Amino acid sequence: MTPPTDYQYLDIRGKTHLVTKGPPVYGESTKNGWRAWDPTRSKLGSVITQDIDVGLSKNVKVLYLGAANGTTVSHVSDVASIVYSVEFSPQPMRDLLNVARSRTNIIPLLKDARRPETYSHVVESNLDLLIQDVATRGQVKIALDNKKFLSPHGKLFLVIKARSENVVTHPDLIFKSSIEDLSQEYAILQTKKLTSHHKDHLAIIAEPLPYK
Amino acid sequence: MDPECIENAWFCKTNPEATLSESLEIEEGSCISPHSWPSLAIESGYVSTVEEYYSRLYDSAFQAAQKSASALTKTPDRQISHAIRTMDDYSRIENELTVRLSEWLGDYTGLSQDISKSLETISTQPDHSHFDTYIFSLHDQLESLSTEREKLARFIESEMPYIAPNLTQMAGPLLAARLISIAGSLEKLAKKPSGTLQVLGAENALFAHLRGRATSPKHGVIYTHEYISKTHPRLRGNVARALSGKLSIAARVDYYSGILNPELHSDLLKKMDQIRSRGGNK
Repeated sequence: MTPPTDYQYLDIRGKTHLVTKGPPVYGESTKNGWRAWDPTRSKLGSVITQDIDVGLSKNVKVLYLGAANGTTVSHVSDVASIVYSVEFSPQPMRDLLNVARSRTNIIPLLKDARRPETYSHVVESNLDLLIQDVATRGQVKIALDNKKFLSPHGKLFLVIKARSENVVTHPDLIFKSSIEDLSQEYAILQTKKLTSHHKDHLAIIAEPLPYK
Repeated sequence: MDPECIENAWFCKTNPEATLSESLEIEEGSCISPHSWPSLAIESGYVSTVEEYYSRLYDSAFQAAQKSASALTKTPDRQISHAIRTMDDYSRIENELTVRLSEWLGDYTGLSQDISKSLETISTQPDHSHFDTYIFSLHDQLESLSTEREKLARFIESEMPYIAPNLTQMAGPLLAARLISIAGSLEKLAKKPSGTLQVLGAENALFAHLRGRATSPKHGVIYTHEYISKTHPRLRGNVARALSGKLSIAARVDYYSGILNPELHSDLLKKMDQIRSRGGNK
């Protein structure tokens, strides 16, 4: 396992890229072991390139819900010390396992993020960062149910996909009610609409409120 | 330390020598809330260092995910979904190539006649050009595509009664396979409401309707069922509703018991007679 390093910006062939250090995964451009993090393929990457602090720093422990093919997970694993990666669907899990083969700090879990009790016996408590990018209904409820994994000083990075909640309602209405519901148990630090490459997505960065 | 919580930990019930049982525990275990598992594992003597804990966890979780992922995708209903999609792809490509061949033959022979006659004309002509070879080989490809498609159809027909006996009896093997493939699996089909099954395959029309731009679709792929396609358009909505109701019951019986129940089919026949006797039958 390569020791975790922070992310940084680096010029590769005349273009400035956000980069992390680790073995390449999906044909991204690399330089001296640093791999470009493509913001058009990763919502987390897109938010980081907009100079927003998402709470990802060296050696953090992460729970990643909706790990999918492991594109973003691979970059997170370059930086973090451990990434519990939950993915519900078996086909993307095959790709994720390929990524995890060369990264022993990825703990792959074929589980349903809506049922945290099915992985609470594996994922430890007091994590530093909860990343959630799931395409299902009830995304806010998932964030609330998985709050118990976060340390009181941890952070939530949540992407709300409006089209998964409801295709008919206007995205802005969904975002508004999502923020309202989330505020019951999280202090919202920042929200950012992802436009160019990730249509109808809202990124939310929040901190857990103490349990009442 | 709460003694109850450690009992639920993925590493507790297992023998430290066997990673097999640990991965099973990861797959099937559960716990209400998370704990500081790494330090509990060290306290309980399961491992001696944090590094050892994570490396054991990695190995077991990797095995568990690999095993459950392949168990989920290797099922016969997933394979039949691929088979029916391949069959549909074959027939799409076949159609495209047939159009191409007949256009080519028309231009080449200068005659408007069917494909086999044109081919005959070419082979009996005294002068041959090097285009002939390619025209004939296109025709051969078409033939083999069509044989392959028929073979696949016969295979699906023979497999479906084992995968979903009731659904196959009511919908016919090909439609039954198509419904499973659109839903994703027999389980997903069984868990869908019959109103959804009724419009499977009409997603564009359905979403246009939900956005308020169109009327609601009456039927999706179940249109190919003769009960619908051979019924007067005025009654098709009724028939589609009744048929999809029975089909979803059949899918549920197939998923949860897998035993053929002929009563289901005779119920459907009765219902169809009832609707059709209301008139408008062609």
